[in-house]
Parts: sequence; structure tokens; C-alpha cells
Amino acid sequence: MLERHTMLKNYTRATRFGVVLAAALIALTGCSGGAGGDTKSAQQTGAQAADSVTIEEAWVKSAGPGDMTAGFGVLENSSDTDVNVVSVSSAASPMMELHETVANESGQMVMREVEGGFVIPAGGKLVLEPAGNHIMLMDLPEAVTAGDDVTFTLTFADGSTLDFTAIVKDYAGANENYEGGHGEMSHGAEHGAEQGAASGEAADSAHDAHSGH
Amino acid sequence: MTTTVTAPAAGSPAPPRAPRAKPQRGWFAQLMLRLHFYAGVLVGPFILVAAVSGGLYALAPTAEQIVYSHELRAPASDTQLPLAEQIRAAQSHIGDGGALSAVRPAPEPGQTTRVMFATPGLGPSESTAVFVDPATAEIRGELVAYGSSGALPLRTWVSSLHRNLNLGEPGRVYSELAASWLGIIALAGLGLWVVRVRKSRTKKDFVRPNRRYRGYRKSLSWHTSLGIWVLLGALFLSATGITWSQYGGGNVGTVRHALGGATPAVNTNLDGAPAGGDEHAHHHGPVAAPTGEANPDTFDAMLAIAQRINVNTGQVEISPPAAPGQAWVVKEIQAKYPTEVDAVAINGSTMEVVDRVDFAGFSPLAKLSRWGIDLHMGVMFGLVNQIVLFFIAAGIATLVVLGYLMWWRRRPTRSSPLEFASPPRRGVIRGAPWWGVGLVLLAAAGVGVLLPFVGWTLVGFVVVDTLVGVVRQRRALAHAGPGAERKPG
Repeated sequence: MLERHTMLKNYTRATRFGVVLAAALIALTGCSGGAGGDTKSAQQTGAQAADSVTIEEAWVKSAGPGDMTAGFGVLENSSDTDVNVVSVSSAASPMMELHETVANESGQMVMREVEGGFVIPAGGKLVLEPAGNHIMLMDLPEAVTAGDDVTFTLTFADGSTLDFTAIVKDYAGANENYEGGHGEMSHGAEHGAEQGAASGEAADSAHDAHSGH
Repeated sequence: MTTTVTAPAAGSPAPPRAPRAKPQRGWFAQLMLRLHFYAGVLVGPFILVAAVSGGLYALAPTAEQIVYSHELRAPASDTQLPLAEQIRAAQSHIGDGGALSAVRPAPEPGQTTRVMFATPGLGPSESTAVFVDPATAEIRGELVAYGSSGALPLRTWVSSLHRNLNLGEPGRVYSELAASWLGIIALAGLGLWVVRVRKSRTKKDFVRPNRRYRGYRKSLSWHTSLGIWVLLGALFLSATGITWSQYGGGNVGTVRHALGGATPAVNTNLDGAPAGGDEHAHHHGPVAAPTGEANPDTFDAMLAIAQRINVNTGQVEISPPAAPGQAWVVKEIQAKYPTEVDAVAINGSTMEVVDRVDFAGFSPLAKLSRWGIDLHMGVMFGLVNQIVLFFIAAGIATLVVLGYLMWWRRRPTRSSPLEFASPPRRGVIRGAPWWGVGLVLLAAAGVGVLLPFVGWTLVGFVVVDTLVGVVRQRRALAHAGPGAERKPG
């Protein structure tokens, strides 16, 4: 059932994308052939995953040397296929993981590495936020202090990479800005586990966008 | 059961003297005849009951869909509530009546989620299933579900009838007897068929009944031609049926184990101890209430994690641990082809994956046993599977009835209306060469050890038969003097 939702969405997106592509082809070549509907994925048309992903409101919680911290932001996938982030790296930490936060059997929230990495649904968003999905930075060689910039490199399943810069903040001060995101999270959960903790429509407001490619 | 050639139909009490001077030709066919006759007559009623109840079981999944449609189905909807919400609805419905033991999320739109509870007072392998509409968390009903196939009361009743006549554990004797002998009777029948079809000038009568025949020959023609069509099905049902039985099934399991064909199970021990090999786990003790904590919110996370590992079908069961120190298990339960029975064990505290088992990694023998079980239960190929099984069952039941009919029709009507037809004569083995005797004894011993019910009943039969023979011989000697001693006895 869950897959069906996704597939349905993919299908309509694919069709829409195909129509746009066909229109572009016609405009470019003047050809009137109707080959539009067959376009299936960004990969097949030569596009790389990194080209269709953006991150907004990227930030990192400040922490001292030797500590661990986390990176957050909103990943958005504009393509018509799910995109898979398999790993992340940064000069700020030698040991990084892609984490999710789930409720364990006693009701505690447990952070764990996501098997196979994050999946950003086709045409959807994946919110990285405190108490949710996040980029884990361990064994910090140096302190990351508020106002610093930290550069990350996301690697996708197709090997393409996306660099972005996140600003460091003190978490306590930024906390209330993320309250709104939680309500959206439960909406995302209705789409079920197939999309993991991916939040469908969540978008945080009132945050100094620090996006980048 | 016999032919007009080897056993006279109008039974004269003293058949003509057997030519015992030279080894008899056709001793094997005669042995097969005797085996087919006696085993058929003695075990026939059990096979008949197994065939009739098995045929009913083939209809049960369809009946279940109709009878329990309110519980099993819900209006199809695009939205699906988190499992946690559905589980909480089921928990408030059941109250203190049971402890959450497993969840089977709705596999497809229009179907319901089963939230299962270990309830005091239920029988082995039984649990209370609460059916929840995944879109609204409405409770659609509550039924007792049985075993890993999740059979509901109607199917469970038919299943027990097939298994133990609804007499509990002691009743399993019946089905083990039927399953153990069915294959042997079928093979003996095949032996007879092959021997006779080679000699016959009306070979067509061996594959389709001759409608012109009347009386005994009519029954024989039907029995023979129907038998050859049902043969493979009967052998299959016998072989797979034995795997469920107490004694023979235990031996089959041991042999499978020795051959490396055991069904892999996920190791749920969190202390690092090896997994306990519990293959037919679903038919043993009562469903245990989880002693660990079963937080409803964890089910969603467990499913999401499992789907990243190897769970890729909608038919899934999520079980919290039945004891402390054990992992949760998320397993696929799709018996329908393509078989999806992968499983993941996850530590409920750290939420780490501790073990996984993939059907693709099963040994060929383990895969075959899985498919054997699913085919026997009629779930592997759905309705087609069930229809085929129904016809095989009907065929076997008919064969039993025809067999008795043949025996009845060749009774000696003139001498006494109540006298039975004479059985195939004894002593045929004496006409066999030494290697034939050896092979027969070896086969009997081998099968008798593997299938104890065949062994015990065979020994019992031989003892009784020998005693009867000795008594008769003495009587004959006393009445007729020394001359009768050469009669085969």
C-alpha cells in the first residue's frame, strides 16, 4: 500500500515531467513526435541525483572539541525519482553518520544510523531536525562555535556529490524555530514507513536560509 | 484390489495348490497386490476422512473471505494511520483481555490490520486477533486466529478435523496413519498398474474408465484409471503430510537437519547465544505474552527499519519479544508465490539489527520443504492451488470408496451373503528369489523405522497374519490329515 502511494506519485510526476520534457524537445527541434510520456527517471535522461537536490536552512549545533554534534536542514528533491543520500563527509569531523531518531520499546527516543542512508522522496522533502533525522558529527577535532561555517559533502547512490555550507548556532536559541516542524512530521508519518521519517511537506519558516550548492 | 487372474473371485476356500517347485514368476506383483489390498482395507477409513477433511480445507480460504469479510476488509482509502494509532485503538478495545503479541499491518488497501493479543484460556498457537481499519482505526471485529497462517475459526476447525479429528493431540494418530500409508498404498497401486498395463490388451482402460463394464470390472476400471491420475498428488500429499506428523515428522526433521536442510531462523538472543532451532515453532506452545515492553510507537520504526533490510512485501508480521533478552522480529509472511519469508531481528532497546534471514539463502532442501508446506496448504498458488487440491482430495476419497466397492463386488454371493471376498493369498514372498526377499525386508525395515506408524502396524499385521495362518494350518491338518500341510499358509 505504501509503495503504491509512492508509485502513484511517481507516475503522475513522471508524466508531468515527461510533458515538460516533450515540450522542450519540440521547442528545440521543431519535431512533432510524441515521445514525451516515456521519460522515466532523472538518471536515464543523464541527470545526476545531486543536480535535483537542494538544502535549505542548513545549520550545525555548536559543540566543543572531542564532542559530538549534529547538522540539520531541509533537503528537497525536485526530480521525479526518489534520491538516496548514502554518505556525508566534512572537514569538521572524521567520523560522520546519517542518523534517524526512533521510539524504542520503552518509549525512549533512540538515535541510530539509517541503513542505506537517507531517502528523499521524489518531488518531496526530507527534514533534518533535532529529535529527528540528522547528520551526526563525532570526535570533533576542533570546536564548532556559533557563527562558523561548516562545509559538508553529500554523496548520492549514483556517485554524484553535493557540497553545501551550514552555519553553526547555539541549539538552545534555535530550538523554538523547530517546534513547527514536529506537527508536520506526524503528517509525514501518515505516508508510512516506506518513506521512513521523510516529512512530506514540512518546511520551516522564519529561518535565515543558508542554502548552497 | 485383485485380478481375475491371481485370485479367484468366487472364492473357493481351498485354492488350487500353488506350484511351489520353482520360484514363482510375478511374486512382486502379488506382493504389491497383497500390500495394496490389506493396507487399503485397513487404513482406508482414515485416508477417506483425511481426503474429505482435506478437500474441505481447500475450500476454507475462500469460505473465510466470505464469512469473515467484515473483519478482513475495510473501505479502501488513500490514507493510512501509523501502526501506533491502530494498535492503541485495538488495545483500548481489548482492555485487560490480552497482551499485545504481534501486529500484521494491512497488506493492501481495502484490507484490515490484525493486532494480535495473547489471551489467557486460548489453545496452543492461538491468539486473539483484533481487526482494525488502517484508515480510521475503527475496530472491525475480533476473532481467534491460529498458527502462522492466521487461520480464523472456520478454517481452524476444518484444519483440526484434517489434523486430529478435533480430538486434540491423541487424534493426530489418525492423520499420521493416513499420511504414512497413503504413499505406500499409492506406490503399490502404481506397481500393480504397471505390471497389468503391460499384460493388458485393453490398455485404454487403464487411463480412462471403460463405461461398458459393469459390476466388479466397472469399479476396477474406474479405480485403476482414476488412480493413475491422482497418483502424483497422493504421493505429494502423503510426503508433505508426514512432515506435520508427530513421529514420522520428527524423523523427517532429523533427516533434513542431518542433510543441512533445516529452515534457518533469525537469532533473537540478545546475549549472543546461538538460536534455538525451532522449525515447526508455530504448532507448539500457546502464544506467549511478551514480557519485554511493546511500545506501540516502536512498531512503525521496526517496520521501517525492516523495510530497509529485506522486508519488501506488504504481508508482514511484527512481533515484540516473548521473553526478556530477546529481539523483536519483523518477518514476511507471504506464502503465495513468489515466496517472501525473509526476517529481521532487531534489538528493541538499541534499535539495532541483530540478525537477518533471507529466503534466497535457504538451502534447496529448506526451500523445497517450505514450498511443500505451502502447496499442501493450498496457499502457494492461491485459488488454482486450492481447486487442484480439492480435486485430488475428491479423487483419493473416490479411490477409497471404489476400493471397498471392488472388494464387496467380488464377494462370494452364492455360498453366504455375509462372507467377505477372499484376500490375496499369503506366502507370495516364498516364491521370491533371495535378493527379492532381502530387498523387501530391507525396504520394510527402512520405511518402518522412518515412519514408525508403518513399522508398528506392519509388525502387528505380520504377527496377526502369521498366527491366523498357523491356527488355520493346524485346523486343516486336524481335519484333513497330512496332505493339507503343503497348502500355502
